[in-house]
Amino acid sequence: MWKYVLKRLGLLLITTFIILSLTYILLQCLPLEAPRGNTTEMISFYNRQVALGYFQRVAPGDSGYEAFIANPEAADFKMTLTTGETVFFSSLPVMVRYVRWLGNIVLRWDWGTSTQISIGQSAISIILRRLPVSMKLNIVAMIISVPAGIGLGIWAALKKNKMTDHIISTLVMVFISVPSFVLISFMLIWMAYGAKWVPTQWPSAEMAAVDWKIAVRGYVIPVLALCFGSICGFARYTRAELCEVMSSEFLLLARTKGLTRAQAVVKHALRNSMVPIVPMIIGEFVGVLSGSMILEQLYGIPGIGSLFVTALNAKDYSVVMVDMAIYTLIGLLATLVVDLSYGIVDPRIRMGASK
Amino acid sequence: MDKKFKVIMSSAIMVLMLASCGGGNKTSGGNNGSSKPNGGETLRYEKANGIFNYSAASVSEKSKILGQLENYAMRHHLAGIPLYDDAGYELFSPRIKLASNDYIPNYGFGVGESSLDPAGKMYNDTVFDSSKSLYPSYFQSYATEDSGTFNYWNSTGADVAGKNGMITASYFGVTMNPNADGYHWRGELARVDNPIPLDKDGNEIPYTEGMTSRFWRVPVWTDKNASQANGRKFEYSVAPGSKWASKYTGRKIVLDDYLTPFKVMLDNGFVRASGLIDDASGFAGASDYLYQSGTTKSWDGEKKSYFDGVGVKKNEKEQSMDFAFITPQTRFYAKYNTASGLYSPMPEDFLVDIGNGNAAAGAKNFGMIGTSTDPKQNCDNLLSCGAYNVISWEQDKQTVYQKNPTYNNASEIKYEGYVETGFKDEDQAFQSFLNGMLDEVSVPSKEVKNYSTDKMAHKTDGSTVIKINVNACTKEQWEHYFGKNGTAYPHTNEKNYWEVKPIMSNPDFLDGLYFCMDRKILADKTGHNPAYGYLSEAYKIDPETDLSFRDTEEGKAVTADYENVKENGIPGYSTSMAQQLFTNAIKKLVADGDYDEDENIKLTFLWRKDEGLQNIGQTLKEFMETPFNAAAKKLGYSMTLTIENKVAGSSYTDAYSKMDQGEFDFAEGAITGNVLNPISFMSVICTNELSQGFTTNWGDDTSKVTANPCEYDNKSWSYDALYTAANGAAICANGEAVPPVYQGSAEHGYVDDKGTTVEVGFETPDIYDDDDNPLVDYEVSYVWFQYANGAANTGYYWPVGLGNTVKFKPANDGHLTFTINKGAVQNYANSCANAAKTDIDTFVFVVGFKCSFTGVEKTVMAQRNIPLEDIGCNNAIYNGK
Repeated sequence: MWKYVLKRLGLLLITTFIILSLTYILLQCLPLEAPRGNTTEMISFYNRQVALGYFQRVAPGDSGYEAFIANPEAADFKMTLTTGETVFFSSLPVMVRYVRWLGNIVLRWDWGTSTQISIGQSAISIILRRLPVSMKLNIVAMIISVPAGIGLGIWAALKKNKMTDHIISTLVMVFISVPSFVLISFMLIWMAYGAKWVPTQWPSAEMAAVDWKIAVRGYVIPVLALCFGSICGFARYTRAELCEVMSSEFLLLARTKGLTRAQAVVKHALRNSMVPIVPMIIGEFVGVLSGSMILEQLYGIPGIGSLFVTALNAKDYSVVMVDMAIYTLIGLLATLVVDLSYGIVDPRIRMGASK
Repeated sequence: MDKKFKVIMSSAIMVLMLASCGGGNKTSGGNNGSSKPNGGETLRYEKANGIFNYSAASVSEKSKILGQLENYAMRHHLAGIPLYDDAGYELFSPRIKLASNDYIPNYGFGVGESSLDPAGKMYNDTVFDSSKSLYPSYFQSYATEDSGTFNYWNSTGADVAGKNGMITASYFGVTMNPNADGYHWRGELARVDNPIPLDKDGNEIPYTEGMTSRFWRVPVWTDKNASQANGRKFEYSVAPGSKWASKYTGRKIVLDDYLTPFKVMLDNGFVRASGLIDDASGFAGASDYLYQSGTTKSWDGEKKSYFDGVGVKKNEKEQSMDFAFITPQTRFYAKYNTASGLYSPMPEDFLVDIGNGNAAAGAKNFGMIGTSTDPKQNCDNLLSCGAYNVISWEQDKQTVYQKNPTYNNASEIKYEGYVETGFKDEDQAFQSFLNGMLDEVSVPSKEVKNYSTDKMAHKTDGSTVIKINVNACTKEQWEHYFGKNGTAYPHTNEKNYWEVKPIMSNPDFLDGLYFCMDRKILADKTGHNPAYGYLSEAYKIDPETDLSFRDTEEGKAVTADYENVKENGIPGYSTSMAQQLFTNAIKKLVADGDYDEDENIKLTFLWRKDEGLQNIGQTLKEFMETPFNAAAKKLGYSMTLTIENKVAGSSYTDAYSKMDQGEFDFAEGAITGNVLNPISFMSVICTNELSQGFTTNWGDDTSKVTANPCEYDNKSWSYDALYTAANGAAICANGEAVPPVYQGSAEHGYVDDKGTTVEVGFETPDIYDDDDNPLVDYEVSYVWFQYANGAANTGYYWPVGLGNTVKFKPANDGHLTFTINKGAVQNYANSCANAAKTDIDTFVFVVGFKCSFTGVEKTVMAQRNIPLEDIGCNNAIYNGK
């Protein structure tokens, strides 16, 4: 088992490495957006690129200077100082940039600094400042959606083909079909702007720290928005699994052996139907986390989801990369936990065991 | 069409046609004889020759100059096609009592001086829900951007200037008049309301009305004299929770602190250092220091001595800051150019503290948000001597400003504080305002119809004119600016060349576009005001009397020919005139073989944002296509015009990049700034480096005297030459601005072998007075030898003092000559070859000339490449091979 876990962890790191490497290389292939404006601003920009390791500054005496003198167009930016010194700024080949970027991470744990979101600040610190909000929100959403979803699924399965089942199934289909941003907007208009039950925006950290009621009310819309999809997913899946198990022969046998319906459902049907559902919980967590990008934007939640969108729009690639790394790691770790959870839920399943 | 209208229309067409081809000025009876522009047509006035300095001109003269500059830009289609300004509506909550209910241009409603009744109502008669805020009695504001820094020295974030203004003070500031109908300037950190003129030796001289000087003194409040300030305090303050609270709260401002921001910007090459080296508003020697001092030299030694050459000095005796500008300034502009939050005092030891012992690191850290998840712990990099202190900061969510009790004008601050809530966009903020959570909001364009008559709505004036920017280049002009050796933005690969459309450089076509715009419809759709000229009402030709250029005779004259054309009473609009002009254009284009009679001409229109495209994109397309296609049809052609609207990219800056690089036909956009010095602002029209990269329309080269040139002082000028003369001093040759020293190419200098020495001459413009005395005074600021291998400047620098090695002789027959010792050159070459580890066959002689003329002092660099063989020296061989 441990050998399997270690092997999977190793594969996880390799997968992360490949994903991040490809992302970095593709991002670096995008055209650079240099400032258009005064010379000092441009110099400052290019110096920053040099500091980030994306560019080289070629001054007299540096290798390659002759080539730029002969072909100045090859440089991204040319500057002649009042001293007569001509200096060139030139972007390094993508792979050189990649190696430097990788070296900075491996050797110094330096993921680069923000160029747009918080100029000069380390990308890691920006993410760390925002990560807790997103994580808390998503964990709360999962805590609510798992029992609610599974409960509704069980209820629907037990009332199969009755009115309760029809209502639950219909609502599930409706909420699965409606895009989350529509739900969020609807809730904002109804609950926040209309009835004024909850704040129209995510409360500030300062306010939330002082008044727990405000903090709790602030969670209502985002948690509901994140929960609807998950609850529906869990309910639909649980209902289907439970219905299948309940019509299976072994459950019929259990009933014929004298177990009550409740005993048969709790001890046998539920246990068996949980095998595919428990891994789904973890998978759903990743889905919810990525789904919060739009929600965070709309509800003004200063988390990593909204940051990802902002950083992408602003072309702040250092921040994008760290954000990407977080999402990748969470996603891959979740996959690992999902696989491991099969063994916990169903002891017959052994991970990594030789045949 | 009535007769009167026909007469007006035909006159207007005639005026425009003549103006476009330059014929309107085609006379030969000028009092200085005639001359010809580059195109070969005769000009009314002789081209300007000599040195001209109109920086001290009167308001009426400056108005004439600005009129010429704007007129040139409009007639040559370098101003684009103005559409509307950015005026709009602001809504305020009823609990705010505005200092002025009417918008004061370039000042606003005096929101900072208004008052707030904490028990008052919010919008829609709601009560502010105090359970949702820790600061219900603070002014509830909003922001849609948070760059995560207050560091205005080194940030271009759109929000940073405003943020920084909350925590900084300036030498001079503005405050509302007692009767709330305007504003006036006064000393803030300065002990006087106006700077004091000095002579070049630093002695105070009496001020006379309209005088200009390069040297100005600003006496300031410091720890030495604050006791005389009638209770006003001049201290710093930091947030109560900051780790530096005990050290810096209450720390007095000392004179050294006033010098710190200048050092910080120049030492670190921060983006805002550009203002310090700008010819029009910058300081003498700042440019040399910025590019010479480097960052590695010690402030105790070499660097400090370099800084002595910068025209920003503290005067211990007078407790003042003494400034030496590059260009003479009027008293107002000396005040205006020093009244910036960028120059707010800063204790250097604070920068050392937040930089962990390194002031340069601290300068970069200043204003940056902390890394804590607790907003109150995020303000450690902030220090204030302004009206407010930042006490809580959660990026993109909320920034809380609390009144700074030690601000020098604290008694005038009516609010307990400001809360700035972050929103995704203006629409979200607007909803929040309607919900009673904000005290002020701008009405989004799409809501203008519903809220412009709201009792809480206040109309603002526009300061920026939104235009259709045009790429009016001919193919040759485009290659000149953007080709392989382009002067503006070289495209190294021909595959990336923009396809220049001949129709875009047809003046009738471009004039037709002006008149096919129903600006009333556009203004109604956007909630703004129609605009007819390049400059908005906000641009003040006389900032002291608040006189807008648009209200002057010259300002009105520029747009009169356009505005007088009306259809349905709408100025600047006439479909029939547009059709007539389009007809002329089509005939010419077909006759020249540029287009076939049945051609479909496709032109691209770039938009900054999708919002603009959705709002008026289709309308503009129809305005342009319909009359053009009708004109073609009337001629019996099946030629059609198709405008392809598209958003330039993911960010609005993408549109400006395309404009900057000449890759567009039409583009929506606007450039604004410097409303109190509109002549200085006009650099954005220049098609060369004077524009600092802000050119958004392309066509005629503004450095040349073209047909229909600028005319002023009975002379013909290139746009650049007149602009330069109006902002300082211009040396003109044949109407064009030339540098005081030619840069040293072979055609502008000589090298003479004199045996043991070599003589190098740099050509100067032929500028002498009637007694043949040179009008430009030259001094050598610095001399360098640079060594090269072949054409490549691979070599090394060697600072050379004037002495035995180099001797300088001032102007001699149009040349500045140097005698250089050949032996020394050979020695330097040999040692440099070893230092640079390369062979050397050429030495580059680099000189910085300090040029003084008509009161302006600026340093100009010139250089000359000289092969060692040509002067009888041996190539220097690197011995370490």
